[in-house]
Parts: sequence; structure tokens; C-alpha cells
Amino acid sequence: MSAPDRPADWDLLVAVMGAPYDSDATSTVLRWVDAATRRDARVQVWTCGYATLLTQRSTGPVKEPNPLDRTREHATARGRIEQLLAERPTLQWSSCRFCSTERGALDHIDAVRLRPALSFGSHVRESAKTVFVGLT
Amino acid sequence: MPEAAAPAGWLLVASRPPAPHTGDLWADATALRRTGAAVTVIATDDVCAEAVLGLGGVPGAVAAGVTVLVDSHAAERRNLAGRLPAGTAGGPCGATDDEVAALLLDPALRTVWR
Repeated sequence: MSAPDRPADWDLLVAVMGAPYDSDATSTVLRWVDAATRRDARVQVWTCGYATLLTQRSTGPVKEPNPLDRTREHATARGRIEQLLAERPTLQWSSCRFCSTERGALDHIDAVRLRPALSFGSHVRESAKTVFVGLT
Repeated sequence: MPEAAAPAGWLLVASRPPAPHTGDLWADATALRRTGAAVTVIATDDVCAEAVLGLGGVPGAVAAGVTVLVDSHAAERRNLAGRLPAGTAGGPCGATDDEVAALLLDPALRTVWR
């Protein structure tokens, strides 16, 4: 969906819904958003439902150390998203205020924009293409 | 809002194995292809094994003319990259993240992620 009478502000809107750790889909989304922004595409991500937990400050940027290999650090999803947002000026990350509030998850990292639920439609209109992830 | 233009083709992202609540993506891809639409399936996450090994509805979809791509990264993580047929006409073949990104960004491809 896109507004037909003017060029889109964004090349792609990825709407991430549902439980973020239910499958590998979250890491796949991050990997493909990474690839799309490497091509200088303008990409915005919108999280709804439990996917709003992905960018909580309380998660921390790195995972707990692996007891079998304490020498290596692994980024959390939050850490990975924070890194992408710092490195890619053509990436924007928004989170649904309604879903965040409902889950007590309003403390997002600074780079995340908290947006009213009803503004989702304007994000769709601004984008040349919308892809939903997490709906079956 | 005016009617959206008909898509030039479909891109189906197969991320979850078929289940009663998800239905069978391969059957949907095959049915869409039979309408004459160009259909590409990118198999990722746990579905890449099904595509690499040619299980379930994959052979039927390929026979119907569906283009089947396998997320090379997901296949590598599952130790399946070596089992991807190289250059088999019409069969599943690997796709890099960059190639998938190009498809995702193509506004002419209506994309459904399941």
C-alpha cells in the first residue's frame, strides 16, 4: 500500500508483531533490515504487541556470559537494534505506545520513537511497501 | 483511497512450518502461480530444511513454476548449505541477504511473511 500521488518517504515498512522469541523470525528480520539499509534503502520498523519488548532498556546490550565460553560477548536483540540505529541513518524504529503501555514496557532505548497506535496508518501511507511479520 | 494496482508478483516468506493455524504456504504459492502470477518463495528459519530437502509441497510448487529460494544464512546455520542443489533448473537455490533485501524492497512484489 502506498499513497499513489506522491513519492513515498520510505522504501519499506516492516511491522513486527507478536512474540519476538517464538521463532527465529526476529533475528531474520534484523538481518534483512541490516541488508536493506546497507543498500541505502529507507526502512522503518514498527513494533506492536510483545515485540515492543525488543528495545527495552532493562534488557541490556549484551547477553549474560555463556558459561562454556566466557571470552565472547553476544549482543542482545536490543543491542543489535541499537547498533543498527547508530550505524544506519536511513533506519527508523518506532514502537506502539498502546502495546508498550499495556505491557509496562515504556522504557525503550533512546533511539526508539514511541508512537500512538493510530499513527500506524500514516506510517503505512508514507511507505512504498509494508510487510507484516509475526501474523499467521 | 484508490484501489491498489495489481501486484506484478508475489513474494512469500516461508518462516514457519505448516501447522493447522498457519495453513500450507506451499499450496497457497502453487494456487497463486496457477492464476498466472509470478510467485517467489523465500524459505527461511525452520522452513529452509523443507525447501532444501524437497519435502512436503515443495516439489509440487516447483513443478507449477514457483521460484523457490532458500535463505543461505538460515541453511548454513542448520548445516544444510552443502545440500543446496547448485544451479538446478527450477529447483530451490540459495539467496544471500542482499538478494533477499532486493526482493523485499521491490514495490511491485506483494509480500506475505508467514
